[in-house]
Amino acid sequence: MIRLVNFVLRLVLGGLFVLAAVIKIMDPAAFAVDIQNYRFLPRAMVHPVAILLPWVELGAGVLLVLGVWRRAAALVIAVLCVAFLVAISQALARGLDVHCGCFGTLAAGRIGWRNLALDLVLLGMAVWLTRWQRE
Amino acid sequence: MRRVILQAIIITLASMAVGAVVNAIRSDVDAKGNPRRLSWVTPPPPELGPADLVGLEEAQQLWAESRAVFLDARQPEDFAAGHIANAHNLPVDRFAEFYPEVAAWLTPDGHIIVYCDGEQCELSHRLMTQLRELGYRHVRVLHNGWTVWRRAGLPTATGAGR
Repeated sequence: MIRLVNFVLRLVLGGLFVLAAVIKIMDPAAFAVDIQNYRFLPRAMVHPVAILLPWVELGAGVLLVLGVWRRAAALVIAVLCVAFLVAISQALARGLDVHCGCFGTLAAGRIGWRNLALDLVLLGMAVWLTRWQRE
Repeated sequence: MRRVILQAIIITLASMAVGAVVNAIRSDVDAKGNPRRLSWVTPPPPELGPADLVGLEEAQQLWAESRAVFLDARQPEDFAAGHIANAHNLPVDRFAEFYPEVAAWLTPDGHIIVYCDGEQCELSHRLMTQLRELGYRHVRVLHNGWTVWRRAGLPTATGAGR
């Protein structure tokens, strides 16, 4: 039973990260604007993060779907989720009027509590898969 | 667990390496014809020159004489909560949606004053750039507009755009 649950969680979580990554890789400039709007990172880091971060999402997502180094892949995703959590929280706390940037233009509109809730769910899945998954 | 952490570090670094290589060699372009390859150096914020800005005093005078159209670049919720009286709402993030209605008030040679809120707010700068690209010649930014206008006790209004 737990194996089936883990299998489904892997596909959903990994799939979501692959999707999010591909959208950003297809339009890094738009992602850079989204990052900048968060006014969270120093300006010098905006482009490097826009170039590199989607590939970490992609690498971890693909490995999780394939089931290769699956616990490590889930751990990477968990760390990313924590970083997103911090970024979204500070944007909400400051009342910033920004797009999430999470799924590019697929999820348009202003950032809100829904983004935070989704991130928490994904973080929960990632922590679960890091902890309760067999290699 | 130590092995898992090590693997996680390897996944992260290897993915970054792939990303750096792809960014270096990719030559594809987006729908507007701009290359998708990004520079590692983040470009500096757009510098506003004196010709891009309008002072509160001049803005107030243009407003009183109805010689300028005021455009609020913020989101509709913020606009509804309070804006410069007689201003129109043109959220820069939803430009295509709002522009057709606002366009009726604009002329290429008329004064257009755009504003948002906060010292750091770049919405009005982006709106100015977009309007100039459409051929409006006299677009200027009232820097930190909503705050300075309100603090000066000048006429404001609430409610959705008209």
